[in-house]
Parts: sequence; structure tokens; C-alpha cells
Amino acid sequence: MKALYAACLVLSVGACSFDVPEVADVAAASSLAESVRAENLMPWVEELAHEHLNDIALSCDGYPAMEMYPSCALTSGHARELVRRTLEQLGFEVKLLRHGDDPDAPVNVEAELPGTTRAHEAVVVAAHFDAFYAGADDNSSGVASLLELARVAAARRFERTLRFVGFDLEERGSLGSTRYVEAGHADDVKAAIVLECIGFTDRHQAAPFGLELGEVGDSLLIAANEDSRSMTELLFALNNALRLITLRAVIAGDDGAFPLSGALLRSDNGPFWLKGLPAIMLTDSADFRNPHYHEASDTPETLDPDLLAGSTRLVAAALAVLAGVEP
Amino acid sequence: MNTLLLLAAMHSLTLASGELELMPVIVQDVVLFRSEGVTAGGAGGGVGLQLSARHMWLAQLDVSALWMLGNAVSTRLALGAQRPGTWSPAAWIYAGMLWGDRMEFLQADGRRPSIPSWSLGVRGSPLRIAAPFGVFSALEPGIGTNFASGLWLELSIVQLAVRL
Repeated sequence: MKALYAACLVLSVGACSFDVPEVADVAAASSLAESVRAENLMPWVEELAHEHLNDIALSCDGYPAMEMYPSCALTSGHARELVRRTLEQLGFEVKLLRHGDDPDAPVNVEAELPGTTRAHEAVVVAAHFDAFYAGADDNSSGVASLLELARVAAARRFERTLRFVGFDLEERGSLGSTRYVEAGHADDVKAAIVLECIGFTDRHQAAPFGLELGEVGDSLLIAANEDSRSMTELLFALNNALRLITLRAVIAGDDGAFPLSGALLRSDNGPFWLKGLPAIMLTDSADFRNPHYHEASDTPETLDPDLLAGSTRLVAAALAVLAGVEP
Repeated sequence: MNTLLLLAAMHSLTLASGELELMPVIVQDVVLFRSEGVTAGGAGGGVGLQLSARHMWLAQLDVSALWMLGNAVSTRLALGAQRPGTWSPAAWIYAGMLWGDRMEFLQADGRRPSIPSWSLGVRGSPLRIAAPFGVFSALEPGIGTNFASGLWLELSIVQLAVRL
């Protein structure tokens, strides 16, 4: 019986583990991560939240309010303008991509840093800028991180093209990212990192059926599929090397589009997954942790600046490797 | 052709011994395996072989294709005992394995959970009826463990062993 038990333990614990990939240039990743200024992040969150609260809500005709979906409190115009203006001030040439002629059509913001040797291959950092109420965690936290990453990247050069995208109307079923991918803007994407609610921690953590997220809500979650498994392993390796944050990851089978893994497709990573493009979503798990999700109480003072800063540093480190930062 | 040969061999085996009977089985089932590293399984159906000896002892090997978290395959080997008669409830112990697509949760050190997910467990067949055409069974619940954090739950919705 002891032998059987031992065999069982060996099978459950030891089998099929993989070697964490070696990071070719941890020093470069660390350098880019250290370029992130934590003190920049919360002011951007506060400014974005302010813009949302002073914006005129989008028409909610045809979008009935439902539980956790206050459709008549959705704003995006002012935040889009802030993203556009900030990226331009950082020296980027910014495009506003309007997808459709109807008044409700999403208008995404795109800025890129052309690659030096592999410009035809793109690495995307994305966050949606539309929000309900102040939208501090959802998703001013993601947008603030994107802006800080753009600031850090603007001073460097990368082998691959680095593209920063602000998606519109994620709260209407990832409309902006869906149209963006459908229009072919992502055809050259080799890796995409979607920032979706990355600033909230709590003592408690819930999870939908089938997901294992732990009991304490102090971690950043990577949602991935088979196409983005290697990206996920890279982020784990970097995080282990640089000791940035508590990190978890869930990797859905195949493209992830199955009933029990459907919760992972709720954000702008979904259209990338469905097109077979490698993308991960970084999140604090939104409503599975944050009681302020889609509420008027989703305000900056509820956020954890340490998680926001650590998450941003992790993405910076990943960009150094994925896009190939030059010395 | 191979299938025909197999069926013929099974039929011969059945005729050769009145106490030993081999029947092909079709099954519709739901399997869910959960551990701190994996959620796997799904709903689907499959085929197998059931061997009964002396109208009491049972062995069954079956393979099912499952869908809910991608495309997965379960393989089970079960040994059991049945009550002889028309109403023939049975109890089983089994070893099960799950292959294919699944949802994985990476550990802090980046370690992947084991492949395949596996379990040892027990299964009951309370609604099992023997008839001239074969054996029909419905709603067979099962539960198992991998002796770590893994819990295997299964429910065979319908199972039919056909007498050749």
C-alpha cells in the first residue's frame, strides 16, 4: 500500500513538469522594469477617473441596464482624448482608428514604435479606456499602466515593432478590439498583452466554476490559451527572476473558446484568441475579487498601488524580451 | 474488417464458456477532474468492452471523447461485482485517466500539472437492468482521487452493453 501511495505521489507531483525557460537577458528585462516609475501610475489613474466622471455618458439606447452592467453610465470620449494626447506628448505618431460609420462605432487609439530589425513583427500592449462611472480599476489601472509603459518604451529602441493600443467599447462586448482584429490591424502580431483591471487587491478571492484562483486576492492573474503558453511561461520566469509580484496563471485548452473556460474570453484578448494570435490578459480577476466592479465606488483610493506598479514592471520586463530591447 | 474479426472472436469467447461473457458497451457520460493544478473533463460519449464472469464478477474498459474544456479523452479500467438477476446493481473500483485539452493553473515555480490527470475511485450502478439484448444502466455516479489534491467526479448517464 505504501508503494502504491508513493507511486501515486510521484505521478501527481513529479510527472510532466517543464523546465522554466531561461531568460536570455534578465539584465535587460530588469533594466526596463526598473525604468517604470511607480509614482506616475496613480496620478494617471486619478486623471482618467476624473475625465470619466466629467464626460457625457454614451447613449444607452439598445443597451438595457442589467446587473453588473450599468449601461447608461459608460463613458469613453474624454479618456480617449487623454490617451491620444499623452501618447503624442511622448513622441508617438498616434492614429485614431474609427471602425464603422455609425455614431456608436468604436474609435481605437493606436501608437507604435517601429522595430529596428524586425519591424514587420509587432508586440502589442493594449487596454480599454471606456469605463463605467470613474472606472479606477476597470480600466483606468490598465490604461495608466499602458501610458507608463509607453513612456518607458519611448526612450528605447526594440527589434520588433512595439504597438500601444487603447481599445474602445470593451464594455459592449469587446467591440473595439473585435473590429480592430477583424480589420486586419493585428495580422502582424507576434505577442499581445491585454491589461484589464490590474490594481485591486483584497483578502478574499472568488472564482467561477472550474477556475482555481486561490483564497487570497493578492495576485495578478495571467489568462492564457495554448497559443500564448510560451508567453505565460516567460512572464513566470521573469517574475521568478525579478521577484516582482504574486503571480498566477490559468491556461485554457486549445483556443480557450469552450463553455467552462469562457470566462477567460471576457476581455480584449478574446478576439485575438479567436483569430489564433498569441495574447494574454493580465487581470486582478475583476468582479471575482473587486466588490466595486462596475459600481460608482470603483474609485482610485480603492486601488493597491503596489500591485499596479509590480504588474507594470512585469509587463516592461516582458516587453524587453518579447520585442527585443536594444542595448 | 478488423472490427468484424474482433466481434467474431468475442462471440466465440461468449459461446465457449457459459460463465464468461464479453459485450461491447456504449456509454454517455460526464467526467470532471479538479485539482489545484487542473480542471479537466467534460461531457460526451464513448465505447468499451465489458466482461462478466460467473454472472457476478465484472471488468470493463472504456474510452470516451469529452467536450467542455476542449477535446479530451477519458480511459477507464473498472473491476466490479454485480447482483445476479434482472435487476443487477453493481459496484466498481476503477482507474481513470484524462488526456487532451484541459485548463491548467501554473504553480508559482512555473511547474505544469501531471499529464494525464488520473484517479483511482469507486462507482456505483444502482439502476442496472439485465435483459435478453444485454445490460442497460443509467445514472452511475463515481468519485475518485489522485491521492494529492485531485478530485474526480463522474456520472455515466446511460450505458448499454449489447449481447451478441
